[in-house]
Amino acid sequence: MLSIELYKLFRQKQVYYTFLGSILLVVVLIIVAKSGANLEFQLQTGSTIDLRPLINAYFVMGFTLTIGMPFLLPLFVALNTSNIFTREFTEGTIKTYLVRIGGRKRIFIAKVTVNLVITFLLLLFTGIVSFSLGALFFGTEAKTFISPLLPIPIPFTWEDNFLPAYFYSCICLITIASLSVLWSVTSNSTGETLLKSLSTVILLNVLSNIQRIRPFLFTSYLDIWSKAWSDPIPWAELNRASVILLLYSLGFVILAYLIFAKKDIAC
Amino acid sequence: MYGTGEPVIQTFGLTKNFKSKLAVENLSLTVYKGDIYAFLGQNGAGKSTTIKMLLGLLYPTQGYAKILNAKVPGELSKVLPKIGVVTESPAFYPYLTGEENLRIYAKLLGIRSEKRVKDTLSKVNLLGVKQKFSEYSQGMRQRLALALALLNDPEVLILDEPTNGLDPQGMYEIKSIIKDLNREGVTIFLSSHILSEVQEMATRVGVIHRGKLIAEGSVNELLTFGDRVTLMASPKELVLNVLKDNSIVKGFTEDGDKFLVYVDKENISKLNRELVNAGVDVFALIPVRSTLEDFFISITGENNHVVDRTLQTL
Repeated sequence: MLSIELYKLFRQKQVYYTFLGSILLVVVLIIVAKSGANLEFQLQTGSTIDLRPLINAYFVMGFTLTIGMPFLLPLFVALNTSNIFTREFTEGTIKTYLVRIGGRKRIFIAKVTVNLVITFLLLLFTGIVSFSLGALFFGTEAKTFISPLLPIPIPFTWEDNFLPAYFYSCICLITIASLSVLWSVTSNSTGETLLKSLSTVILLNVLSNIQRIRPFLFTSYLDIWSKAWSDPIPWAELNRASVILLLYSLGFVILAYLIFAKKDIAC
Repeated sequence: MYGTGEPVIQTFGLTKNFKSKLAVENLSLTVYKGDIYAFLGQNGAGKSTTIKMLLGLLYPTQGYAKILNAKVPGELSKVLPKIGVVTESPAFYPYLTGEENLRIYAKLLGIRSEKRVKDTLSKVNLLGVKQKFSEYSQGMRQRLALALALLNDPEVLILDEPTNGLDPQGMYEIKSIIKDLNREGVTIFLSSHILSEVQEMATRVGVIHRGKLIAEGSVNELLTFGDRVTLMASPKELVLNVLKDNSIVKGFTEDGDKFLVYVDKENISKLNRELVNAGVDVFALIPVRSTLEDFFISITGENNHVVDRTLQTL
């Protein structure tokens, strides 16, 4: 059933739009870097540093996350989730699926698994594309990434910084995907799922300004991947945040299953 | 094939509420092995809701159903491989061709044989069609749905308006397939609001009206002779004299040189005597067999005065 779900997913052109979207993200980033745009940062000492000579494949790969994680990548993830779940409801195919195959639990587990796989593949693809195009246009000479918050070139390592950054990004996106699963089983259109998912993130982000409730909101941890660029890396904090995000994900999925298991399929 | 007494589909007090709307109320019906059971009702009567409850798509508010002795919806998965289904408005993946759609379900049903998929498509005249499902006509969609229903050699076929959207040729083909399958021993449960299409093949009939099962029985039980006769007689004036103001004649219509006379079965010979005694030459007095449509209208009509027939009304 898993392979069938994957086959169905990759036969939908909407899925390729999300992959194309991540290529576009990288391409735009490269165009900006190549265009001679002002990429100078002023340091606290008053002197400026021109970042252009420092741009390389690692920079592009890191900066793609910086640009993509706040909105675009979660949007793509929510779009894929709605294609996996909501589209089956809106087109009525879930009805055919249920009366031929049966077993709502089985179908749900297969779909959630495919959802996790596609989220991982999207991020992996984004990483590979950004590194490859970055290498093509800027080379790979210095393993340097400039944090937007601390624009000082620091030597980063592949194992200590880039892999963890992508790993924790994946956990953040899995939480978004799980939230989208929850909304997708209660929505009547793919657009509705997207709107509900992204609105939830935005609204909870606003609420996270209230310090008392901030630690309890999953949106407070959706930027943990960026801490992989810190020196030293706060591993304990990263792991604690990951556990919270994964618990939220599990909660969203269980709740979605309970709704799906009792849902009347009237289409 | 005709029902052999072993229940294949049973519902027990099935009830479904949609918020404030009662869609199906306390519905109990039985389909026996070998039946072609026609589930009749007007649009919105509750046919599709009942079928969706049978298939575990909708959860009953009250009551339950059994298919092949499996309780629905809890044990439905166990018997689904023995059931074929055509739902109302069949839905398939629009970005795949009919064959690709069917192959997905064949794999999921554990059917490894490519030949089986092709044979099934051939049976419904869709073999070699390369169009995607989104480009299919309504008739092609219905035929693909029937192909999917037949893919696993089902013991029971549940068909919700199977000829919906088909042209007369398509209807004929689907009816032939249904009759052939029934001859091979497949029990058929089909819903329809087109009564003429089921009359010739149904063995048993259930009539649902406003969510309630109001009649159930064999077609022979339901369609009795009587209460209408075609009268061919002359002279016309004398015939009219006898028919008018006659206490045994409930009504009549003229159709050229023929009359359609509404009269109770037991009064037909009395009417004949009265006509002859009045000097009328009676050439023919032929009882008209009711159609399913007559029966349906008689028991579902708003001004219904004909429910006390020799029918098993519920």
